[in-house]
Amino acid sequence: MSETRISVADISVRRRTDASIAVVGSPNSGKSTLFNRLTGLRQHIGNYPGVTVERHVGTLKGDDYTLELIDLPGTHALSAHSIEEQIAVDVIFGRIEGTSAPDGILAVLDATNLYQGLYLVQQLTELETPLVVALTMVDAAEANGLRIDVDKLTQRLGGIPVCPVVATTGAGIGKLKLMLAKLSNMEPTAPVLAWPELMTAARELAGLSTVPLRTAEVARLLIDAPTASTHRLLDTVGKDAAGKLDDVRAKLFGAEPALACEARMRFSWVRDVLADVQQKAPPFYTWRTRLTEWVNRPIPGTIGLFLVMAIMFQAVFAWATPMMELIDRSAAVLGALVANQLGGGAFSSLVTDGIIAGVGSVIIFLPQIIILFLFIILLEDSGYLARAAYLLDRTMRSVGLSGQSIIPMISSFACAVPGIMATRVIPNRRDRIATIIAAPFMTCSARLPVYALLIAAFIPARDIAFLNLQGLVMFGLYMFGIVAGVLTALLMRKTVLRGPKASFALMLPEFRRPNMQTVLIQLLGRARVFLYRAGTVIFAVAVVVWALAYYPRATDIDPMLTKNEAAAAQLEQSWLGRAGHVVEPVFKPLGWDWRVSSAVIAGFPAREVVIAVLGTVYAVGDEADVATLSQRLQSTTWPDGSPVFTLPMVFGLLIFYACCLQCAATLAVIRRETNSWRWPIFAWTYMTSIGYVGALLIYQLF
Amino acid sequence: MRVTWHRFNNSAGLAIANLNANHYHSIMDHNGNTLASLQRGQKGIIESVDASDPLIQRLMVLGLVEGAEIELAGTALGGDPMEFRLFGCGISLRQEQARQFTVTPCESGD
Repeated sequence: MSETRISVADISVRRRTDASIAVVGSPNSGKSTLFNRLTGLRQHIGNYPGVTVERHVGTLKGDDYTLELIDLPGTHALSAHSIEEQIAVDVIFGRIEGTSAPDGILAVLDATNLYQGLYLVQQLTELETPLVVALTMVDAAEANGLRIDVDKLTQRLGGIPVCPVVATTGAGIGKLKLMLAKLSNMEPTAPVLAWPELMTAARELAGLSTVPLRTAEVARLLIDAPTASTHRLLDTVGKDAAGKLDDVRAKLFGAEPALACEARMRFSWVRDVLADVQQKAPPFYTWRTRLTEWVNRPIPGTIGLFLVMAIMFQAVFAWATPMMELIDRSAAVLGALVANQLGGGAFSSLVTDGIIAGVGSVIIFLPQIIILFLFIILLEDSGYLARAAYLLDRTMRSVGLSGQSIIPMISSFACAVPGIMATRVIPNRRDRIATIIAAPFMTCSARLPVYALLIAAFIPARDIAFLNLQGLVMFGLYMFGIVAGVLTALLMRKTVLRGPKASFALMLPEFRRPNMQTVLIQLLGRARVFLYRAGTVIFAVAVVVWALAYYPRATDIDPMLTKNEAAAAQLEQSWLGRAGHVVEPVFKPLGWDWRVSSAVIAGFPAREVVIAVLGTVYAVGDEADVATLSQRLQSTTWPDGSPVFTLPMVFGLLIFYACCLQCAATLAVIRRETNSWRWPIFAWTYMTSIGYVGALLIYQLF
Repeated sequence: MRVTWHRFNNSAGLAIANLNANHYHSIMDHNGNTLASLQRGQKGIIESVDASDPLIQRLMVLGLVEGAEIELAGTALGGDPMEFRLFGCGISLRQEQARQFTVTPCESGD
């Protein structure tokens, strides 16, 4: 099978690496921690063709070998249930376009959960590909009172090498690397038979096929519901084999669903092996078991959830302030320094007003974003997000969703893009789309700067019964996002996505201390994405907006005007000023002047750009930092002298930003995840209309 | 009994059509002892599974099959969803799904 698939691209890859090894394991088996331990920072993230599932590939370099490791999405079994599991299975069988099947498989088996893990490992032996098993979390298993006889496990697995490791400390990693180096030269071991009749039938069918087929692939064809890849397979098996499929199925499964028969047969094998290799002693009382027991009680668990969320949002606002002030002051000092060195003129204005003021006003939010992502990553890595999904399932059910929608929604507080990608674990398509449309309503880290600026400038820092008014407004906006998202989901499940109630079944992993290396790698990746955007999209927009605001230079400005008045007059007759005046009638009912209107328009590709644009627009002719920017906003007036930024207008603007889907990246990810233009177009139109109408109502009524 | 069954199952007609006689009897015999009726801390052995719903089949792939020992670890507010321990790993289901698994209780819980 693999010989027929080798293309020119594969041969060039082979020269650089000796073999490609797929890392396969169930979710939460410690697979990614082990992968990071083996490859360190020598890894890159790409995408599988046609889907947004991330493809993590790393290199394992030894003295005389170089291996390519592919970290597959977690899967419990070869019978895929979600898109991510389907990708994992497709990679294992070499069905992904442009790649061949891996030369070997590293199966990650969680020692604390042999029962589910052995199910997958047993299926993997049927592939007849060289296989090594890494037995992870042996330390945790021992703490739980489990003793595992590794030699006996190897024996029951037909001689497949089993290597116990502790990925967090690195114990056993050296031995595992030696095994992996030899893996591609290893003879594939004979399948471990849990269901001999199935393999015999599959082998017979494979023999009838016109092209060489793997027995395990035919076995999957017999059991699984047809998918796109099995349809392709059906075309290749030939008429003789295809005609016999149903007969064989009737003989093997009778009237029962095939998947249920498979599970019964394989798990009876697993139970038999477990009795042989695993000994149970009474568990030690660890902090994990105490913690788990405590959160298992419904009331402490629910209170704990609200505490965790409160601490997270408190941290985002309180801990980030000193660092933000530092960045703010550095930007102001840098701007003044550059202005001094360069003197006046267009270039100096470009650097200080365009680049430093524009990009700086976005970079200032990096500390908040890092803290937010840190929390989300820690919650996910420690296993708490799954717990939150479980605790909130009942609440989500009342709006027609399930607890599984909680994880994407909490992730969306950091960024809707990973949030929408996290909807892949939701098996039901209707639930998944409703969650995708609701997720962008959650207050993401790009909305934060807009809220922070407007609140700092226009909401008085008054205390109302121990609570700070500014903080209260921020909290209100977060709640508004949640309510709007949830109501949207409810509306959709009652109309276009009407259907049977959402189902819910979820693995609840035990709490564990997150691995710092894994957390850091993820955090650095997120920070890089943010800075990359600031350095490219936002940089470009800042320069373009600066140019539009700087040119054409006015020749007839009254020399009697003060510096700021002259700058304002220049701005008004610039290209930006003229464009702003053209769109002003559309936004005038919302109380926005041409400056705000043009900033909002410029922010459609990425909403945080609006800060950069406001920074640039109001900086032209003066140095800028956020503190002076809010002062400048406060002193902006209509031609008749009345202030532009009145309270209703600011609230309207905040509501507009709470709703409006100003993010090209989110639209792109909706397009890719739903595989249609319909949903991104719908989401954009729906959210923009709500934002506009909301801002209009607030401005007109108050 | 049949009426109650209908209430538990969305696609009741289909479920009964697919149910083979064995399963139907075991559900009757156990007099409503299902995963949903376990007490907190109580263990049971899964006796039979109505596998007609694809979600139940998925749960079987996760290890909820006949012969498996399972314990109710706790519930969320209001008793639903429920959290079970299956050979040391946690798995959460709604009551509605838990009712599709009949069990023989082992020992009483707290």
